[in-house]
Amino acid sequence: MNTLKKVTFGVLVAGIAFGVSAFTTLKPKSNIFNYYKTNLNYPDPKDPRGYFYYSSDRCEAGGKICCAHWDIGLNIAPTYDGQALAPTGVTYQLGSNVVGHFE
Amino acid sequence: METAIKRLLLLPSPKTREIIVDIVAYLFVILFMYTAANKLLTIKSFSSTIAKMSFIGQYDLILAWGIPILEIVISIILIIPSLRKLGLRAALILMVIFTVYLVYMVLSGSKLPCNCGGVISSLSWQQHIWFNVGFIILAVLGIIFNNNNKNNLQ
Repeated sequence: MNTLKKVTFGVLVAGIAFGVSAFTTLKPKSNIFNYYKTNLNYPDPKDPRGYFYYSSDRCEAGGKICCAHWDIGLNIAPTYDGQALAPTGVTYQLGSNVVGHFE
Repeated sequence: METAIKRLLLLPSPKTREIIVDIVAYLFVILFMYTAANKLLTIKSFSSTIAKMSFIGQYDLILAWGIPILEIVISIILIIPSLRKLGLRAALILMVIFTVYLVYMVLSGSKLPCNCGGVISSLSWQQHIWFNVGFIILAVLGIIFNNNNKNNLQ
């Protein structure tokens, strides 16, 4: 491959990597949000009870469940920290739970 | 011993070595661009993760912006063939810094924030270290083959 081809291919690879990352990162903004399991009286990650919304990273190592992604469906999107996940009309996103515990 | 290693590294033809260097460079471009985009698009979360880390926590904002920008700059350098040697060395240094810090955090028993973000968010910190070690080995191979090719051309 000559230099121009290498540069073109490199730009293409970089653009695709950046684009795929942006797409997968921004996609959840539609109606999928990260909720933190702060009430461990409900330890099942798939149980919507005990989940609260926080905009920043609040996880620490140690523990079985810290947070998970939930599709909130037609419920109103969370606007402030500490807002509870709606008990109905929400869908757990399979495999999205992060191990650890809420700080 | 050193000669044996050199012979082994010279085994592939110059063309093969060039292809290996290209692949290594593109792998780093993919890794850095993917993680940089993720960090920049979740800058608030990334910053709060850094803020909880020992030693570097107080520089959270600088690092939250600086690391992804540095990754993008290194990617651009890696894309340009004439600067590839510099890019590979910069990538190696960055990966070594990341790995040394990770090893320190794991060995010191510090509180480990568990959300790293990006392609490796699902990895544990230990798995993260092995992932980085893999890329360090790739960078070293890339540098050696790149040097060998240049020496052959001279």
